[in-house]
Amino acid sequence: MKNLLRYHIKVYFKSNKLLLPFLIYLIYLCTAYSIMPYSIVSSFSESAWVLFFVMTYVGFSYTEMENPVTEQLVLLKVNNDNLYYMSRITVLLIVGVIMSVMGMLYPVIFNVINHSQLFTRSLMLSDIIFGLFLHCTMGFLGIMTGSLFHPRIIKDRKIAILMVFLVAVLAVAKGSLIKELPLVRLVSWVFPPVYDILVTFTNRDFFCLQMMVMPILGGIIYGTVLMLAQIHFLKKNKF
Amino acid sequence: MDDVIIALNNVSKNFGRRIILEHINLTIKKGESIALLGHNGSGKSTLLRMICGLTNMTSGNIEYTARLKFNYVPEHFPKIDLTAREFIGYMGLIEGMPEKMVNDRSRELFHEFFMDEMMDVPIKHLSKGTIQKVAVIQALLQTPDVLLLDEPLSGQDSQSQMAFINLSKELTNQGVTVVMSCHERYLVKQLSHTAYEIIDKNLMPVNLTGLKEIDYDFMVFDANRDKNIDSSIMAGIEQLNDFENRLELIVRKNMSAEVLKQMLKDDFKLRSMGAKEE
Repeated sequence: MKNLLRYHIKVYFKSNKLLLPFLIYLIYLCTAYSIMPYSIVSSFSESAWVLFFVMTYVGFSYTEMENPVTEQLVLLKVNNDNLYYMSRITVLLIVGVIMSVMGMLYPVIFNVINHSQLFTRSLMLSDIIFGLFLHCTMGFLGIMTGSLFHPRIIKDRKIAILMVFLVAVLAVAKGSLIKELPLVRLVSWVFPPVYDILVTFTNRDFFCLQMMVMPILGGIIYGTVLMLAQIHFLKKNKF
Repeated sequence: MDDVIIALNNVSKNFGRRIILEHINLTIKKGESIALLGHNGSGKSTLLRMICGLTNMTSGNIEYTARLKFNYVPEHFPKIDLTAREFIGYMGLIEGMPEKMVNDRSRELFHEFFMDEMMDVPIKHLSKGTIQKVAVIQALLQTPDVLLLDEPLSGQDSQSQMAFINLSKELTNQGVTVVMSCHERYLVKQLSHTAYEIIDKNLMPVNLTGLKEIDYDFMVFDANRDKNIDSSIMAGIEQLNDFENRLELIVRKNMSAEVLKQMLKDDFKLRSMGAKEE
């Protein structure tokens, strides 16, 4: 697994595909935290759903980058399909955690530079821990959403792009859509629970464990189901 | 039948509504070398990939007597950003070889395939023939049970073809089973014990003694970018390798005079020629 990860990371970093999403997220952080003071809970929530979009793009572009020929060679070398697919997902998870840490470190450092004036109240360790959890969960959901639209799962890439865009937007906007069209609720569970997680933090000043457990757990379960579905379809739709 | 390691029973493959292979039956024995012939798109590559499980079959089944280790040489290796040394190194490590063994073995193979100077060049900057050598080297790092080769010799110069043929013979002597698709009919008898041709989605045995009757000549001309080879002599050319500065032709002996005359008439400069060695 170690060598497989090293190989994937080398190929990924040499491709420069990560540069664009990294810069987009960095620009977002610079812009969003340029306004002071800001509510901690709402700023972290906003940063987390932006990270969801960024990681959806990362997951999608990563599957596009893969070369089917080298993929076949590595699959034969590994001789274990599950291990191979898990290694690819692990690379994306590593990127997701790095981006989440970046999403938390930036406001923390910026807050220190601004003599703790960045937020409407003082930043606590629990805010950082809960914020990091929130970012990691959103990153995980984004990765699994984007990478599900693999070229071997959805062969028509135009349709795949449209679908991934639609799913990502509906994941965030399904709440507003349900208000307008209540029947949408019947199918809204199909989309990643980004809105369902974020809505729990609306008008809150503090994160608390009780209110976070269920939505975060729901997000992790949803992401895990997508992950298992992806591996299943990739094993079914071979080359 | 004791030596049979893979048995394909009534294997068929469709891509959508298009039938590629129909009711293929084939037994592969340990240490056997099998060549698959057939025109482009006949299903040779698909059959190779089905044997190692990279492509699912539509119907039928494949029986394996044991858990086999497959190595595969694809027809078109991609132009990737990694250098040849990096790629080969990772492949060895992923295969489970110790780092020192990977380094020693890859150096040995790079040398055998005349690639010492190109190890640290990104694969995307290598020529087509050299990229194909990288594909072959990754498959020869460790001895597999079954080596699957999809047009392994296409685009390679004669020296590398000979190096590959020798290595392949060495492997079959060691008990490695080799299954390859091959365009170069004149090389089939050197590489394989058995040959099949895919005709109308079915696998037909090829009489190798029949292939032996054809003799070939080898001609090298200076490359001339402004000129095309006359279509009237194409039938006599078994293989054409277009390298940067030269054109290598493998020509059926009975057509040699005609091909040579036409090439000289078309202002191609002859550099060397001779009977194709076996």
